[in-house]
Amino acid sequence: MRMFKFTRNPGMLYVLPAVLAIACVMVFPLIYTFVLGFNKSDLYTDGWKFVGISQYAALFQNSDFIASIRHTVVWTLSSVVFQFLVGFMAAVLINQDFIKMKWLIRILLMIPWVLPSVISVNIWKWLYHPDFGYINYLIKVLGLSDTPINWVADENYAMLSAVIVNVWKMFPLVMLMIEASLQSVPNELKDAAKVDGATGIREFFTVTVPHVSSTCYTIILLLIIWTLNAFTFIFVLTGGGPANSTEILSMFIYKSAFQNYDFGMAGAASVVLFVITAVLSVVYMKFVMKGGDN
Amino acid sequence: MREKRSGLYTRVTLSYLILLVMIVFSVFPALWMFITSLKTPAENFTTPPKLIVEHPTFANYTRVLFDSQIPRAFLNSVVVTVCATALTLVVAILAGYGFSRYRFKGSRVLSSGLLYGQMMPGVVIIIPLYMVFSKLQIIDTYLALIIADLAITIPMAVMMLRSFFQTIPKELEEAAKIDGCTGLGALFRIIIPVSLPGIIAVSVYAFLNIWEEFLFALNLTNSDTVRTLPISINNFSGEFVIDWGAMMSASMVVSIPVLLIFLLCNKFFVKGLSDGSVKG
Repeated sequence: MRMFKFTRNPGMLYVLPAVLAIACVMVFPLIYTFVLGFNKSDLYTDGWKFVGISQYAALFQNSDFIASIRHTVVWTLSSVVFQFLVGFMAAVLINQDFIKMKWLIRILLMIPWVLPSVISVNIWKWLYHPDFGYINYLIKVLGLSDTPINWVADENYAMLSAVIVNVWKMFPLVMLMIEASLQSVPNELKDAAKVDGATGIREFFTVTVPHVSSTCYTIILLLIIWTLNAFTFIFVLTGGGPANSTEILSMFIYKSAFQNYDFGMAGAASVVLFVITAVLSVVYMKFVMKGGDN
Repeated sequence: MREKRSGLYTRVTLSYLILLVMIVFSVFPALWMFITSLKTPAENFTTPPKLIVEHPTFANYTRVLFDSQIPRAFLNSVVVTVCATALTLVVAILAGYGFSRYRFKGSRVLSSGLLYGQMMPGVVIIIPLYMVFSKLQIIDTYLALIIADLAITIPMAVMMLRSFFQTIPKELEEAAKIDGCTGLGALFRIIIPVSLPGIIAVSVYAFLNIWEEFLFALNLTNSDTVRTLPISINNFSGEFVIDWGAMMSASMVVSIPVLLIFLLCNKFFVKGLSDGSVKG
């Protein structure tokens, strides 16, 4: 009887391998993390010990954790705002009819996104070098400042350095997605606006912007989710330092688990990060589903 | 009329100018990597830093290629990337086909579950994976890395292929089925050959993501025989004085395959990616 059902609707058979794989590497780890959050499991505890919500209580009294939430908000907001603005501007500029060699410009602008993250971050680390780095040299040549800035190792600049790298890395993707959506603006709409006397900037804001706005929301949500979960940039560039000034939530989780070996606490913090991400994902899904109907 | 013309000129000049600034911003770091990789240590540690290499040398490259862990790490990366990409493809082609052609109980839930999967924070997954893999004693093996990497690639790969398959007319396979092809036969004989652009896009996506994967490799490997490139390269900065010349030449070695693949497949890739993530 079961076999019969499968042969009548083989769709389930086709998706089965993917479902099994996702169950093993995502659903199961997620459940494991949830259980872990309610158990003490560290170097001094033999096996697991059920402790209820005490780890969550400890977490929200942990000043490092609270600080990491604050850093995460700063990191995410500033990265996403600039990733989006720079990417949007690039897309609008390239999409103008008079621009020649679009393919070449596009490929050159895509390079940051294509380079592996670890490499990008290390190049920037070298550019940020206080004594021999190119950025401090530029600042000096342009006459902006004479004292070398210790970008990565100075509490006041470390977060800014990380955000710059993140913006540099992700704006090309924003550009690509916005460009695709700009190209789908029907010419009739633009012509109609011209007949009504809307030109240049007015046409842009009355016709183009409303047309691409739903794509923009989707991209912004995706950027927020990605930035929230980013780990490599911070880990390689600053390691969360100096003086924890760049320790975002994912870094806090990593340190709890793999440096302090407090897996239970890390599990509880992971649940917090997951819940934040899940809420944003639900909003994202709403947008995607709406977009899919068009 | 003249006023309008000069307005256009300023607009053109301004647009090119801003684009030029953006291109410099994008390309300069990569260029600086290349320049640094050709300099001797003495030349790298001079002030002010120079754009022109006075005594170009391949010493950094020979050191990296013959006297470091990089070649071994390169091999490890190739093994992990090829295996995980192949696995992803098989699984995602089947699932993409299933989702695009059949409606069954739970198909909507499953496919939106995949979208959620794409959002899953890596740090959340790595802790349980690490704990379970240590119990299974497969830490520091290719297998552990390959399994973990599937979490990154499968959700997006399935979504990309699903939207690609949806653009292929059903009549194509129906004709094949009338001629006596089974469902699976139609998939392999009809759908896959016409879907090559989509399949290439997915392969490139998977390849790029696994090639640069850092978090899982950092925690699931601890010996040179398994460690992948991102980890090996980052270890260059583990000591007190960083050998920037060697690090940048190693970075070049890692980036070149990636840049080549991107340049070759750029067309398919860009479209597939934006379809998968924006249209869902």
